[in-house]
This record gives sequence, C-alpha cells and structure tokens, in this order.
Amino acid sequence: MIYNTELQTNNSELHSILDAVNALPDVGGGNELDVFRYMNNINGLFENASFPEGTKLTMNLESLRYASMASLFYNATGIEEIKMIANPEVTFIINSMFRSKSIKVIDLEDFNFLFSAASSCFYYAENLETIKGELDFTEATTVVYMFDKCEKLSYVRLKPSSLSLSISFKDSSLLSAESIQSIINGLADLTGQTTQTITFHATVKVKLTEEQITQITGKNWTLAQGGLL
Amino acid sequence: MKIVEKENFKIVTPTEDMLICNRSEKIISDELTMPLGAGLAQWEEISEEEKQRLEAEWESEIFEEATESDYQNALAELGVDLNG
Repeated sequence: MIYNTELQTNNSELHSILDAVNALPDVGGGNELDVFRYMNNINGLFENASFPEGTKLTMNLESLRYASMASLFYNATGIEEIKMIANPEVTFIINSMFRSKSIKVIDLEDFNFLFSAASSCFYYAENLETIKGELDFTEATTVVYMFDKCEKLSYVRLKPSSLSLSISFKDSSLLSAESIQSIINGLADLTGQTTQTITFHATVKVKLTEEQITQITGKNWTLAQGGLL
Repeated sequence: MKIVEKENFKIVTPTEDMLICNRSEKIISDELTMPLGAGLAQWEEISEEEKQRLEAEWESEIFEEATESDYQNALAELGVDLNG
C-alpha cells in the first residue's frame, strides 16, 4: 500500500489520518492500494482542519481519474503553502478549493489542468500572496469572481491570450507590475466579438500606463475598477 | 452616465453617489474605460444600498456552487461519465 499524498510536515494528526487510510483492506488481491485511484470526490476533505502553523503540504494526485475537490481546504487553518501535482488529462472540479485564510502560497506548476469548473477556486483566499504556475483559462466557463477577496495577492501569471471571459481582481490592491502585465497579456483579442470586462482594484488601475489601457481596450475589453484608493 | 471620449478609448462615470453595474456579469464599478465602439446596454446605474444587496446575493450564489449537486451538474456539462 502506498500513500499518494506526500506530507512535508510533522503533523502527527494528519499522519494518523493517513495511517487510518493505510489500514483499509487491500482490494483485488494486490499488496498495494493507491487510494486516490478509486476516488472521484474528495470534496471538503480538509474542511475546517487545523494544521500546525506554517504547514507546507504537497498533494500528489496523479492517479486520480476524475475528481471533485470542491471546498477541499475550506476554512482549514495552519496551511501556509500547498503544492498540487496532478495528471494533466484529468478533469477536476475545484470550486472553493482554496477558500482558507491561512494559505499564502499555491504551487500549480505541476497541476496543469484547464480551469473548466473552477469558477470560485481562489475565492476568499484572503491571505493568498503567490500562485506559482501559469493559469490556462482556454476552457474556462466562468471566472469573473474567482479572485474576489484575494486581498493579499501579489503574484499570478496567466497563459497569454487564454482568457476570453470577464475576470475581476477588484480586491487585489497589491498585484506586482509583472502580474499586472501578465494578466493583460492573458486577455484574448476579442475584436469582432462581445466585449468582456477586466476589473482591477482602484490602486492598481491608477498604475496602468496609457499603453496598457490601450492594450486592454484595443483587444475589445472594458476596464472596470473596484475598491477604494 | 457621463461619457468622455479619448483618442483610443472612452471613460464612463456614473452620476453622483451612484455606481455602474453589469448584473449578468456580477460586476460593479465606479468607472469604466471602454473601447470606443463598445455599447452600454448591459450597464446600469445603481445605488450603494443596491450594491450591498447584490453583493450579498451573489456571495450566496457562489457558495452554493461548491455543493455536490453542482459537482454532478459540472460533470455532466463537461461530458464526464464516471462509469465510463
């Protein structure tokens, strides 16, 4: 039997949970049970969980076929960093997945999924500062409130020209210059199509250069602003 | 709403003490910078009181998206067959 979740923590409580999983009877006569292979729903698995302060968690979900991870870390405390590893061919449902006040860093470098059912995956991650990895919104269906309440977000990268739906960073006043340009570069050219809207916090909007504003409107996007200066 | 046209875009602002809202997109703003050819059909003026009511309503909708029923709906929308 193997764990498919690697823990970079001394959290004995969490190890106990995984020991319990490890104690499940093997199936199919084999000697190993890769538990995630048989799961298609881990909604709320760590909901309201209390991890030790500063926990860094790596979740290796490469063997999952299809999975809903909605509210996976909902209201979890103590987790500071999360690294997700997954099979890029798997379909994931991850609404409200990272809705936790303690998470500061989310590493998606090896989590190359399409944001097709992830409309609120970063919603209310109030202390999230950094998202590692390029977010690909090519197959997205709704993203407009994905980053609402991400008040500490400073670093995020979008796959160039992958976004053709309205999106909002209305609560993110700390976005770095590099992140702002990456977001602008992530907007697809909608010339001849319906105009969509990109919303920045007022503090970010006033930093935009005339050239950046022309880049946005030149791709048939409307620029809105939220928050207060 | 007041519209000021610049060389490459136009700036739209609401009347005093009002905000601009796009209900279908769940967007509220106190200023819009738009392409010169873009229309305002989806945008309307709302009060601060209406803003607070809408934000509470939208938050409730977003929370409900994380439910199991939505998971099943999302799977169906994505064409995923768990029995396949």
